[in-house]
Amino acid sequence: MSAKALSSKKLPAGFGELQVWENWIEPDEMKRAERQVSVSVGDLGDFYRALLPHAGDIYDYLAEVPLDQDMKEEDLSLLLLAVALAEVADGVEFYAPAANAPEALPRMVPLHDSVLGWRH
Amino acid sequence: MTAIQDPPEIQESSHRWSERYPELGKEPLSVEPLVNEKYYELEKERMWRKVWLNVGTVHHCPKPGDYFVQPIKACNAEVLVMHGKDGKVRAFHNVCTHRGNKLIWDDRGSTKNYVSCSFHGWAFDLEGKLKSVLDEGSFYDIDRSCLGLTELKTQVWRGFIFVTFNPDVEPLEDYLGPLVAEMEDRNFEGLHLNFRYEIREDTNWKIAADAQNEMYHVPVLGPVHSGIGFLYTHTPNGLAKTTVFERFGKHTLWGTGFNPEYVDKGLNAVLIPKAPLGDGGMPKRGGVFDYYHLFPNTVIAMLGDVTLVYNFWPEAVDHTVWKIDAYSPKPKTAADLLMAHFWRGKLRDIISEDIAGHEAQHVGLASRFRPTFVVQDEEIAIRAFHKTMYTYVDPKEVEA
Repeated sequence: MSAKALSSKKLPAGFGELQVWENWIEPDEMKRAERQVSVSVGDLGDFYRALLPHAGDIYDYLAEVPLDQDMKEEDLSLLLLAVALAEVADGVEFYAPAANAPEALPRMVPLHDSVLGWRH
Repeated sequence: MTAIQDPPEIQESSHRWSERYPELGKEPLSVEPLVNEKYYELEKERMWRKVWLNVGTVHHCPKPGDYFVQPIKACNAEVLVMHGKDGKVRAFHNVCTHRGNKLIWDDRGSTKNYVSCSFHGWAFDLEGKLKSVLDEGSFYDIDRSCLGLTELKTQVWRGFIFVTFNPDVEPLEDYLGPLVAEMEDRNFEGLHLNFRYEIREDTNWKIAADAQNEMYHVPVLGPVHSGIGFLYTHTPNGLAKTTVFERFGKHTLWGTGFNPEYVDKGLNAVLIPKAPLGDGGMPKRGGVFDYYHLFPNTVIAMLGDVTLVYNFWPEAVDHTVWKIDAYSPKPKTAADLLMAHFWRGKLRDIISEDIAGHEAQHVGLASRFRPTFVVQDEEIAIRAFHKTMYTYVDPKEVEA
């Protein structure tokens, strides 16, 4: 599976109310990390608090999406939204209100990940 | 693997590990191996060029034709690992046999039949044989059969690719020693590579390795450490404790169990009950987390379903490249993939808290504030590692 770019960030039926958070749907981990450290503490908390009540439903939905075939773009969008939530959770739960993340976070350079594959 | 032992009773303060391994001593350890330029030079000559080094796993070159390059500055070399058409993984000096230029300039790639030099186009097959030379007739009686890539001794153990620059080295099985039997029931073959990171740090490679090689820091170093780290065995007063420590020749294990006082909060409270930590085909000696340090610079750490492989590569006495792989059993659903990302996120935050500590410690130690530093019983894996290093280079040789 690879997803270098998404042509649409539309979420699956049932998750329409989360569509307002589509700016957080981003395949590239470095770009997600940049967003996490650059938004305000308040905005990061708003995203986290809006998504958290849906996290269980998102998990249950994704549990029915097998990986042995190409993932539908809307399912990938939902996965990436949940990945963004998982990535910011420690920042909101442990670092707010002083910061959004551990200071050295942007120094972890991803060479390979399970969504994008190898970077080189 | 040997039978799981009953862990010694967890006490607030104890000398349980030094009593089990009295040969490790209790005295303070020398600062010099961590900061001394001359020690690093001796280490390169007597240790790095002599031992087996793990350069990656078969997951970095899964198919015939796949290759990757691992720089090993401590040996003044770069290793090119290629998966041959015959299925065999081989390692070579990443150097063209024409005029010694670097053969592959990328980090990794895949090819059907040949790799060729960017300088004059000499082409080598996946087994390292020289196959074609541009304008061959203008050379003077060159013999292609003598100009194949320079092969390094390579052995693959359970998917881990090891190379050595020492032609007289002992067989890898002897180097790993009792670790081979210890790992017998770990399902490395069932792993799937989910993530790989690289971190560049201004610190000695042993400082970076030592910082990961104990639990004493877990409640203190940072908020994510103390948050998720509380799932490990703790004393009533909040000290993180190991439940197992063992030496396997040059290599060590420490592990820890589950803390019954730990309660998931926030996102953890939603996701972890839906996807509780399994064992990922890796039964744990410590209960929940096992941390094996393979001398000199490799770590296999297992938490639940996640298996991490670290390599600490020195580039200078005060510079290290830390490579991190995260594996798990192959995700079958998008929810499995979400959980792989969830645990990867925890790892990323914890390691981010570690990085600052590594560099700050190098600054502190390099000041030579004292000639030695002290370690306690929970830091015994560090003592074991340093004592093994001393068998290659005695710190007395460089102490003023």
